[in-house]
Formats: sequence, C-alpha cells, structure tokens
Amino acid sequence: MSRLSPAALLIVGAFMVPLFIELPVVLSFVGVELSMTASLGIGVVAFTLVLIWSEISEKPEAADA
Amino acid sequence: MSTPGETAGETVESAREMLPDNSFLIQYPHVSRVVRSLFLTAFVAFGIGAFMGVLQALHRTGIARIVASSDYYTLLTLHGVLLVIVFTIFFLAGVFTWANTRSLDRPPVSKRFTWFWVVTMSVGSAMAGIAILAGLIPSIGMSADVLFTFYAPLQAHPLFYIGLAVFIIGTWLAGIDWFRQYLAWRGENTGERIPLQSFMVLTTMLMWFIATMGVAVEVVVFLIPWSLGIVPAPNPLLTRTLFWFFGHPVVYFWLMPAYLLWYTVLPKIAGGRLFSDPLARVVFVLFLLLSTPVGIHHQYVDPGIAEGFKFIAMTNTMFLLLPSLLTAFTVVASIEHGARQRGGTGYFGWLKALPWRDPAFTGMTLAGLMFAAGGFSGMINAGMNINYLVHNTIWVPGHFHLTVGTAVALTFMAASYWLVPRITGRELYSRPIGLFQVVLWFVGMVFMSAAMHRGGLAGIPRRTAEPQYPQVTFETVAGSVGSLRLQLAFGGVLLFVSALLFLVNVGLTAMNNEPARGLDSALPPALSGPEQSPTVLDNLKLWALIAVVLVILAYSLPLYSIVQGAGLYPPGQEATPAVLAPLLEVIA
Repeated sequence: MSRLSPAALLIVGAFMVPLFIELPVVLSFVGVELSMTASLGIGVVAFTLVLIWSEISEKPEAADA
Repeated sequence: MSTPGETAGETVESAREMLPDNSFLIQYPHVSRVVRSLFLTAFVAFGIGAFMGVLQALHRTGIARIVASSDYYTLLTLHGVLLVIVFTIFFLAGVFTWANTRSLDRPPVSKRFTWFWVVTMSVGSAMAGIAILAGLIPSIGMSADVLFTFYAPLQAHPLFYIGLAVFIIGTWLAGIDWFRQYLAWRGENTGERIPLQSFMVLTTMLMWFIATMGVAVEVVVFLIPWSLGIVPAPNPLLTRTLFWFFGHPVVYFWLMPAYLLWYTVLPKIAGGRLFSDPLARVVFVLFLLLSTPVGIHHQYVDPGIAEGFKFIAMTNTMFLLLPSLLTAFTVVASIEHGARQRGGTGYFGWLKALPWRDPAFTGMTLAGLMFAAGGFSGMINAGMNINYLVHNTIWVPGHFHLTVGTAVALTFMAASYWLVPRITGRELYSRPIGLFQVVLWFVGMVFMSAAMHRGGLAGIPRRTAEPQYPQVTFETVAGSVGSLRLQLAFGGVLLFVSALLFLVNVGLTAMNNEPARGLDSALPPALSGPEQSPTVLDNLKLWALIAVVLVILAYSLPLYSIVQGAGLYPPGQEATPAVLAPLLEVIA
C-alpha cells in the first residue's frame, strides 16, 4: 500500500516546484552558483525519492491488506 | 456521461428530477440560467485571452513569432481586456447573482431588468472586443491597441471607448439589481443582520460605484469626444490619474469575489465552518474604505504629481495589507477547523486531513498561497523608493499574474468545479482532470512568474514585443537572460494547456447527462456568528460616506494641481486614431 495517493503525490510535487526554481537565487546570495537546469535536475531526483518512499510500505502486512 | 438514445431535452429534464428540492437549480431555475449565461461569456473570453497570452509568451521570448511585432500590441490589449475586464467581471457577476440570491433566499426583483444588464454588459464587451480585433486587419481602418491601461496619449477607435462605457453602465445596473434584491429582503426582515454573502456583494458594489467614477469621467468626458475629433488631446497626466482612480480598486473588484468564495465556500468544502463572521465583515468594510484612495501609487514616477500626494497613496496602500492579513488568518483557521472535523490532528498533521483530491479545494488553496507571494511582491511595488527599481519592468506583470492571474483566476476556475454542477444540475465531468488542471496552473505560474520577477530585477522592460536592446546587457541575479526566457515561455505554455483542460472539462460538464450529486446549497454557520459583531458594521450608508470622504481627501488636491498645472487640453498635443504615432509625437 502506498503511503501517498496519486493526488497527494501531485500536490507534493507541485509544492516542490517553487523550491527548486528559487534554489539557484537563494544560493546566489551565499556565493554558490547553481544553474537552473541543475536545480530542476535535483528537484526531479528529490521527487523520485519521495515517490520511492511513498511506494515502499512501512509494514509488510500493510502491503497484504 | 451521456446516455445514448435520449434527446438532450429529455435527459436534462430527467437529470433535474433527480436533484434534491433544496438545490439551487431547482429553487431558482431562472437565476441559474442567468448565471450560466454570464459564465459562458466569461469562459469564451478566458479561452481567447489565454490564447493571446501564450502567443505573447512565445513571441517576446523569441521561441515562436507567429504574428508581426507591430501586431503584438493588439494581442496584448486583447489579452488584458478579455481577461481582466470580460472574464473576471462576467464571472464575478455570475457569482454575485448566485450568492445574493442564495443568501437572501429570494430571486432578483425583475427578470427583465436582470437580463437587461446582462445584455448591456455583453453588448459593451462585444463593441470593445471588435474594435481591438479589427486592429489585426488594416483594411478595416479601426484599431484599439491602447492596452488595458487605456489613457491618453494612445488613442483607440471610438467604438472601443463607447463599448467600455456601455459595459461599465451594465455593471452599475447589475449592482442596482442586487441592491433592489437586498432592499426587498430588508422590507420583510427589519432588524435582521445582512446575510454574509449578501453583505460581501453589497460592500463590493459600493466600492465599485465609487471607483468607476474616475474611469467614467475619463472615458465619457475626455476619451470619447477626443476619439470622435470633437475636442483636442486631453492632458495625459489627468487621464492617467483618472484611470488609476479606477485602475487599482478594480483589482479589489476582481479579488473580493475570490474572498467571498474563500470565506464562504472553501470552509464548507474543507468540511468545517467559517472561523469568524465579524472578521469577514470588517475585511470587506476595510476594502470599501481603502481600495480607491490608493491609485496614485501607480504613478510614483509621474513628474506632475507632488511627492506628498504619492506618500499619502503609499500609506493608504500599506493599510490595505491589513484586510489581506486578516483574511489569511481567518481562512486558514477555517480550513484547519474543517481538517480537525475530518479527524486531522497535531500542529501540522491536520494538513493531511484536507480534501486535496477535490479540485475546488486544492485550486482555491493554491490560489490563496500564490496570493501571499503576490502580496509580498506588491509591497515592493507599493513602496515609493523601491518601486523605482522595478517600475515598468516585467516584474510588474510577474506580480499581477500572481494576484489577478492566480489568486483570482485560479479561484474562479476552482470554484467553477463546485459551482457549475450547482447551476447546471450536471455532475462534474472529471475530478482527476480538474485536480491536474489546477495544479498545472500553479506550476505553470511558478515558472512564468518567477522568471518575470527576476527579469524585472534585471531591468527587462514590460509592454514590449522586442525586449532586446543592442547597447544594453541585462544582468540577472542567477542564471542567464536566455534561461529566464525559456522559463517564461515554458510556464506560459503550461498555463495555456491548463486553460484548455479547464475549458474542456467545464464544456464536457455542461454536456454531461449524469445528474450532479450532493448539491445542498446551504452553507454552515460561522463559528463566531454575526451576533458577536457590532451592528454598525452593517451600516452601509455610513461606510459608503466615509469611503467617499477618503477619496475626496486623497484625490481633490492632486487633481486640482494637475488641471492647474497643464490644463484640461494642453497645447501642442495631437493624436490620430493610430497605434504608436501619438506616443511618438508626444515623445518627440
């Protein structure tokens, strides 16, 4: 059983978009240069990790339910 | 879904028979027809306006240039007028008609009068739209490429100005209709508190009556006679000031219906109740008082207005943050109450209990979130000193695409998923498509608006088809101008796809023969009801009078000073019904 429903994944993904769009701007204030492509790439990886976490059940019996 | 073998009329009747007696459509079939008509016009305008938007996003970023740069301004005018005049105001007229009828529990006084203002608004919109569209066909000899900010010295064809005047008159008649409906209710309910939704409609319309005085004088006294060749070119600063007299409060005319939906519908969808009815009334009274005497904050760089008047406008504008912050508190508290009623617990755990699968809830919530971001960038615009950094840059469209383009437009789209079944009796065609659509709008706007804000900080100008200058290099905070352009265009395309999905979903809903479910039109009472607020809040005459006095204080001296300085028709100004020639002549 998934931890997050497809709708919840959609919402979580949506909330991640502004974070990774603004990440290069925030980092530029501390002198770190990060391209938009790299930032969005990190965002895709982060979302993939959330997706994997969501699909791996907490308890084995939950998957059988 | 449609049932084969049945005629459309039979299926509609059979679907209505399955609706509960207390559904709005059964109680007020005629009012539902009026609202459907208003929504249809709003959605047609939204579709055309959205198409113009994506053309502009692709054009000015150099991704795809489908029209000539000289026609860009026609598209820009059409985009602005159709989306922020026609889409928003027709939709809010539908919402107000529904809300006033539902909360007063009675239909408008006269069907004929109601249809009269609907037709008046429609005719005015058509006249203005035709005048703009004609600009794409030079042989017609008509154009109105003056953008949404229609002040001198840019001049449009008289049909455009007359259409706008007719449209504004239509909105006044709509307001009169809602007041007549209220007065009929008041006659039978002496001493009762005004129902909340009706209170919101009436305070909004009082604000609108005051705010449109400026644009009425601008259009009727100056622009129409000028465009007909009866009088010479008017004082540009005067027409600008009269425009912004209306041009800022119109923002609240778009926003207050969204607030109505956030205060009254969103808590119901979340499974809870409005946190405080008195706070909601205070917020709407504050908007009535403070929306209009602030327009000069759009003119911080205008040389003909003394700095002191601009400072007063800035101060009034900062006071406007108060009702928005009150709204953020009240709406979030109401949503949290709903989540806890649904079993949510903990400091933040209640967020998981909210109905995120419902496109109406998710869309309105995302719209509210984006409005917070728009509020922050608005504070930059409103500050006299820091405004100089972003004035007339693409930062400004970035800001208002968060406010009217998301807080208002996304709320209206999300509310449509809740409201259209209630006025058609038909089940929403697809909730998953609706959910995907509102999220896609949010994501698209994040891409586009962030690029616009950052481009503005780099000094990239707004309102131009050619934002490239050989002698100027724009320096961005992070990334390159090229990456900002890509980001802007990508966001624009996502927004257009989202708009198409919305129109398809609503269109298929209108043709869906499956009867809608759960159409109870009652809204739950507030946790803190109107009996806990002073009755003076319902004294509309008092608030309207104070609002007029504030407007007189804010505008009388600046307007007197402008007229004393350069007169009504300064010598040496000429214009012809052309696109850019008047501006170039004045600059020269």
